[in-house]
Amino acid sequence: MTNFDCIVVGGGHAGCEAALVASRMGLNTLFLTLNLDTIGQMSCNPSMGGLGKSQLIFEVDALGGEIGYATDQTGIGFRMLNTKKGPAVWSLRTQVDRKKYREFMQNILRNQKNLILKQAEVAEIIVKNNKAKGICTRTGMEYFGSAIILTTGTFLNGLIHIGLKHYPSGRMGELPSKDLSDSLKKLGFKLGRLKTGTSPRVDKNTIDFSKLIPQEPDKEPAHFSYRTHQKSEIRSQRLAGGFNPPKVPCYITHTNRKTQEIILKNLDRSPLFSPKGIIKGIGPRYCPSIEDKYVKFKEKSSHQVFIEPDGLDTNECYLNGLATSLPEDVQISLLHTIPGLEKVEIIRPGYGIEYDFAYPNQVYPTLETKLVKNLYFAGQLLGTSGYEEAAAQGMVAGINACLPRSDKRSGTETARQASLKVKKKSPFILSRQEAYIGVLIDDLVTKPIREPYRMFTSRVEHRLILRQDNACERLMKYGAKFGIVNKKDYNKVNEMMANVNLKLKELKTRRVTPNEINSILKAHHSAPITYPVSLFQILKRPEINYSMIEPLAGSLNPEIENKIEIQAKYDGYIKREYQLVKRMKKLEDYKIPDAFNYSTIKGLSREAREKLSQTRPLTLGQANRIPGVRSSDLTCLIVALKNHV
Amino acid sequence: MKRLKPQINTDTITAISTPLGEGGIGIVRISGKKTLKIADHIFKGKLKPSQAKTHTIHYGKIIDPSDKKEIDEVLLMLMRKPHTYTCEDMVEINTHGGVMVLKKILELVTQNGARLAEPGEFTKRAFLSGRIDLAQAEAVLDIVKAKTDKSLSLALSQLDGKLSAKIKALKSRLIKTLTKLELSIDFPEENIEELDKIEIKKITHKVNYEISNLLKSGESGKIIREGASFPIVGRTNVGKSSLFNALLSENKAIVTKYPGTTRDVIEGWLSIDGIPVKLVDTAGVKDTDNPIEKESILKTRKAIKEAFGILFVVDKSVGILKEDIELINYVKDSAGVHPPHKGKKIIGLLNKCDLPPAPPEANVPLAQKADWNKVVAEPFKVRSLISVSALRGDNINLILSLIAKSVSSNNRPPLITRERHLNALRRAKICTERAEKEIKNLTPELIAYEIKSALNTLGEITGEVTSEDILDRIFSQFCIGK
Repeated sequence: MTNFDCIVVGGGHAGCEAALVASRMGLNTLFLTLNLDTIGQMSCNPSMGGLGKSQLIFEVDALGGEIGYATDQTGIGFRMLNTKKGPAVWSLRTQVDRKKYREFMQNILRNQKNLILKQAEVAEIIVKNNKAKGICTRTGMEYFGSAIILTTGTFLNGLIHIGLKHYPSGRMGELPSKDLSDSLKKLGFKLGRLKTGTSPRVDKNTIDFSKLIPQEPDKEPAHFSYRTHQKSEIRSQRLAGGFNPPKVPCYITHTNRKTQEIILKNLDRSPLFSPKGIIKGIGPRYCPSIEDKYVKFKEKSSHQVFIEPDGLDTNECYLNGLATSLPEDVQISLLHTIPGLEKVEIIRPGYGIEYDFAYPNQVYPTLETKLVKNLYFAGQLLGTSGYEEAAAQGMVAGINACLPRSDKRSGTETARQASLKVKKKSPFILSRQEAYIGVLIDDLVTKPIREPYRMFTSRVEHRLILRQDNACERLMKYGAKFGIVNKKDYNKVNEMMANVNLKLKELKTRRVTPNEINSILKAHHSAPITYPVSLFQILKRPEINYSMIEPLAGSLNPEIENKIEIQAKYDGYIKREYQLVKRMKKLEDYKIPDAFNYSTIKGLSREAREKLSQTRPLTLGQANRIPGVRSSDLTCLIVALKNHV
Repeated sequence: MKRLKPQINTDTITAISTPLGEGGIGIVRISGKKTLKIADHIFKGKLKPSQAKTHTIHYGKIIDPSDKKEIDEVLLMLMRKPHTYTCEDMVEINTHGGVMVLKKILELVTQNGARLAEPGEFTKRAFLSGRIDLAQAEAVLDIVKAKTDKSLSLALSQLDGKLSAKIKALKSRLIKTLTKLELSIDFPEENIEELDKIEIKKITHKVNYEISNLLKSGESGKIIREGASFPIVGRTNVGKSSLFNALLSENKAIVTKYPGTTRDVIEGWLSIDGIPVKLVDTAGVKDTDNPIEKESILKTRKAIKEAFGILFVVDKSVGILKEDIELINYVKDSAGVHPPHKGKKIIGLLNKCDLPPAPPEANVPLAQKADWNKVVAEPFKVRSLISVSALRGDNINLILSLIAKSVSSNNRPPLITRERHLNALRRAKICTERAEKEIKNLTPELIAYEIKSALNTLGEITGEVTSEDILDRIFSQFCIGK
């Protein structure tokens, strides 16, 4: 068969989610990748989640994605970060068995209905009348589909650097994809160059663990997926045999003056710092190489190194914090200066990699390109970094590929639509006010990109209400609507929320007398009350938690208890946030038509006119966030829109 | 793609819709859901505005609900939705009280539930509700745009100014704190020292203190709310009242005579460079047992204390008397002429220069012409005294220009901008105060939330702080990254 509804190119974390969601929504989907055996590979460190990224996983999971469940099933050490800093910034981080994750994901893909996997290098996008029609492989095979999703990762024109040596490659030991890059340029896409780096992996048997500080995973681990959760609702059961993943520790060590000396001495052999170096791509500031750290922060001679296990049945370890593109011999000698690693053997060296990306202002928030209809970009191709960021985009591109735009449908599109479970045609765009995914994509399509984009909680203005603990409440409705979340699971979440609301109501109306509560308050150094107040008011006190008032309030399952505590403690803040969100919504809901002409609007500043024409925002809210667009420009825009029919 | 109609505006807006500083009358305009409720609250007439028919005009008084004080007699124009400019309930309050009364009414309206309108916001609402068409909207927009551009350039020129410098300093403190907070939140494993709540408390305390000072300071807020006050001070019979009248008639301002005894303080308003200046005709200060006079002397002292500057008058035809000396000493002490006090501007006046020196009668003058400078100018640290004649009008314009100079040497931007600034400062302070007072109970994410809210609000004055700015600081100052 050469005719499909949807073709997904690239087998990374964006591609996996896109292929799964498209096939689950009923599209006949073809999944093409350079190497079938490395589908779902974690190219960099063997860990998922962390700050900002954890929230993304929870959200992808709530929409019906796979990354959360796969991580839960193959994780070998779960830690909740930031537990002392408040629930909005709690973040789950998990060490993952790299091989098991890959195999788990491949297994799910292999067994997915409507999905065909093939190994091929895509060399060209077939485009007719500005519409993507299909792809052509390097071996000359043509496949047709009415939606094409590109998730090329670091493979597009990939160039690996180790010292001053460099060679074309997509990932260590794998081929890059050169022709596709040229094809995109030919179509008129503006491509740029980014750079990222990875750390050496070493032999566990050559590490002296007696010199290292272990970092143990949580004893009672949390998990990402609601599906994992449904299997073990009550804490005691979970411990007894529900969610009980392996608990493999990480280890911590530090670099020192000797490491510094070696690195500074060998900078002339670094592709980043030597005048002979040819790296042009911009690397991420949040993930600098070790040589970068020593050059930029001269006064700091010691840097932290996390030794992360690569899996249960491997002797490979990942040295997080030591990303480098120095020559291999320098890598060896610098490692040998580090306590615990004096005799370590490198299994795979660290390396830097440069790759092509497409400036993300060339796509709509649906991730469909502005230049070519039915063509979608996702993941590192759009300038992001991180498995979680990629998965989130894969999800959004995948869903939107299944929601054809209503205008001028061609024959194939009608056929495709007939195969859809979902008839709704409005595009799937999450707002900044409802999801981290919304912030991620809005940032990408609105703001200029300076480095590989990574999610942080501080990018999210409404982070107090966009928590990982309420991802299902926020987003599962979409997954259910698109038929990618099990109805039963969705009902369960709704039921649970109904219980939470019922209990909240009860706590707000149940007044306790001083007689009833003062002994409890006294025991926890909380001021006694003099007249009856509601239990909700008592629970709002920072020094009081639910278990203390349980005798009066009744016992609850831990999840509901947690949700109720958050509601009580953050009551005022949540209200303030929702007010802000409501104010923003006016602008967010004001749509700007697709082909809106900015050149004729009176009163727009020149800068605003340029930026608006270039970005082509979908809503006034987005227009408002474009750097260079002032509020007076916005007023003019509103006037013009009002008169545009 | 479906185009949605924007939601109806939920908040109520207000603004002074006549040019400030000039003109005998002014209009405060209110539009939005709460309009009638606000009008009911501050307007006292035969009918409550909410009970009146649409498109009617009502005579009544604006009363400050907090102290029941009467602000001004007004005409209130009531227009019910949808047949109004904005298609919302609207009220226009016509006053004849000049700038200060307008400011006060605006303040009352905002205190009772409206917010200050953005430039062009009435037009924006009119337009959004489909009330006006493109041609009309564009005509209005041209004006609006001119205004915003002007305010932008003003805001920029203000960047060198005192207020902006202070706000910038406040912001940089808050940004520094927020950077540390976000660092500890987004990079918990980077081995960076734990957050020091005591330090944050100190910083927020300092910021609160400085915002309070900014709000309090006579330099900024007070002048806007109360005007720059220039009492005319001198012993009895030096011609203060005729000087008062001469200055005001020159400026064609309105003299408000407050009810009470004839010895009560009389105020009059002038507009100088758009800044309201309040002239106060004070009673002479002298020891007395008469309770009415005692009361008015207290009022004079208060006027001196609250003054921006003082017009000090002596009688050139009589010379210096004991009472003059006493008064000079009093003013010198209470006006803070000596450092480190922020000196009030004192303008020394020799009145009645049209009269020949009077023959000494019961009061023997302590000094004659030769000593004017020594006795009057030196204590006040002014270079010279001005001979004036309230009667003939000699040098009245010179006095006005001196007042103008002292007021505008503080280089104040237009009032409406300032009011917005004050408003922003007040709102920012609520957040930083909460951060300071509740710090023990707040988790870092909530402290960060309060500080970010404060920064956003201050950003309305000097420009926004984006999350990108914070990340930039994190990456440039701390070595991050595994």
